[in-house]
Amino acid sequence: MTKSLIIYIIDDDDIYQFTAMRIIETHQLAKKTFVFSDGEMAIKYLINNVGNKDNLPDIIFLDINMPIMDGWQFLEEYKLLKPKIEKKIQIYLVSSSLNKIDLNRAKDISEISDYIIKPVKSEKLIGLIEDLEKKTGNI
Amino acid sequence: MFLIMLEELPASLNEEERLRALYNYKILDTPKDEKFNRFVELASLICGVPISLITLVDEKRQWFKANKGFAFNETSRDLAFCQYAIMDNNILEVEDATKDGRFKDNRLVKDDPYIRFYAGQPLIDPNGHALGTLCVIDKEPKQLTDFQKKTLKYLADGVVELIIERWEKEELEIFEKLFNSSKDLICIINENGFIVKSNKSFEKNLGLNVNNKAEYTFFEFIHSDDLLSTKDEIYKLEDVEEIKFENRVQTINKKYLTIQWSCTKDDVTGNLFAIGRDVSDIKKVESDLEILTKKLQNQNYQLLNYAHITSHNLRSPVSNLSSLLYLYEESKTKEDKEFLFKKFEQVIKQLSTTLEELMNALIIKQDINIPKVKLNFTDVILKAKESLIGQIILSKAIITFDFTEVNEIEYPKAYLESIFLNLLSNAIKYRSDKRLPTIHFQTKVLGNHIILTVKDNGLGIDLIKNGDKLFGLNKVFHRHPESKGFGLFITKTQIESMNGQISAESIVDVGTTFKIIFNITGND
Repeated sequence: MTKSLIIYIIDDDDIYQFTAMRIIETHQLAKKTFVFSDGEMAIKYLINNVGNKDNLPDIIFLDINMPIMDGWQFLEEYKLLKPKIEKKIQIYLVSSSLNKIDLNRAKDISEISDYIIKPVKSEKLIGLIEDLEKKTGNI
Repeated sequence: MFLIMLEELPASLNEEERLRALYNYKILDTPKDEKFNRFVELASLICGVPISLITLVDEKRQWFKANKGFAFNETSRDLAFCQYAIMDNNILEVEDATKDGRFKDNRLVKDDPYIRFYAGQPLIDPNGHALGTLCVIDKEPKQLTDFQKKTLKYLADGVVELIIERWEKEELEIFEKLFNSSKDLICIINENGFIVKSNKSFEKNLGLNVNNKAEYTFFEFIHSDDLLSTKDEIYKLEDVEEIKFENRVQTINKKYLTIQWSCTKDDVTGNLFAIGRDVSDIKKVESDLEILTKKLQNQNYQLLNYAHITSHNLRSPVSNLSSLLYLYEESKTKEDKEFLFKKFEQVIKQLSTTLEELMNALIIKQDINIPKVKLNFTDVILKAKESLIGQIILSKAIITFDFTEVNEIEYPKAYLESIFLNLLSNAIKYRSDKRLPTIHFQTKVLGNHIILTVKDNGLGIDLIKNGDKLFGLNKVFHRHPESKGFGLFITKTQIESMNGQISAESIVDVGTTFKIIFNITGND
């Protein structure tokens, strides 16, 4: 497996952080993984690394419910930042919420590639990342 | 046969209408009346005869409203000289009945009282109906002078006027009874707004001094907030015939009734006729319904909030457990399994805390009949300070309070203590390192409510971003090791279960002010 992708995990739940990291590490899915406990930490890091492709993600796994700055607020800030970022970033909204309001809201945001409901299984994560690697390889 | 009938019972062509007119005056079979007696006394004096009558000719009889010198109060119609008199507008004079084919066989002529002379002046009402006569009778043949005939005519006119006057007075009395027995507020208002006439209900409810009615204006009873709208409505009467509107009117007991008015204007005098119905009870039902709807909406909202809580706060740890279980099964070494087991412990602890808090909230919701006791705000804050003494010393927080306006409240003890403890510990927890923390508690009275404000100079919260989540479960807004976010959720649940409200104003890096409205009257 080529380790070409950079992944951001933005989630305040440390158990989730741990399980996701464990899957990524076990299956060697990423070149680098960054973990942020809330949206604000992540957006600040993105701003500071706008020109630095080595620290910009290919994939963001974004939680909805977080303190300080939640997933929705992060997306608002991200939209403003997006024109300055030269890398194509896939954002997956990850939540334990089955709330229809959340699902519909996610559909209306073009920056979101998909909505994943927790718990995230390793097969799902592997399939998703492999697909993306193929795509980026083709480009 | 027909001809004989005609001769025996003469009747005018509009007999039906004439009878209707007579019955309408409602005078038949009424008691004797001095005012009417004067006319027969006068007629007999002037004409120099022993008998004079005011007769009213019914379908079957003639009835006497006034009777001078005659033995009966009524006779059958076939005996009546008057039935002939009412066929004409002019006086009917019979000089000698024994020589008149119409009367010579009449029992009253052949027998007692042996009538010889009769003169009857018809009583013609303004619509031309002859109701009966003013008549004079003698036992001797006689002839009236022109002067006597003329006088009889004038007297008859006077009798008709009296009949009409009597009837109008009676009608008025009926209306007066209707006017005064009505529970509605009825009044007549002149162009300058003064009350010209009002009914008993109006006077009783609003406390009008009956003797000085004219000194009151309609507008002085109206709630000041409704004055403009009332005047606007009355203006509309320039263009429309009737207006209907509502306003609040102050009663003698200084209470306000909600009155639904219906108003018309008398174009001749410019007076307003106003009829008002007290709809306060209906209004109260409406407002009760509104309160109930609000309560239901609120409960519905809380249910949604619970759905949200189960979705996030319960599903998250459960999904973590299933992820951990998967990793545990994949795990190959004993050390790793032990390491993962520690993670299980962490999630289970988190899950049980969340469940416990949720249970607490549900208990509060069910426990709407929790007993209220008289509490002292000063005692409650001192107790809260005591519980948090360690944190207060550590943070050097200056805690002040002003409960001079109101220091007492009836409230569930555990709730008030929990509310104070949570607000105080929150204020200390989210203090700013840049300045000495100050926290001020204050109470005020506003109508039926006690307002508690808790003002700090701490970190503040961006309410534009986070306002909707401030009182949610597990919501935190700061990277703080002790942040847990349970406090405000429980605080809000407790306050709302007692029909109160909590809100916050905050500026980032300046401070936060929480405002709690305690509903003293409760929900009953």
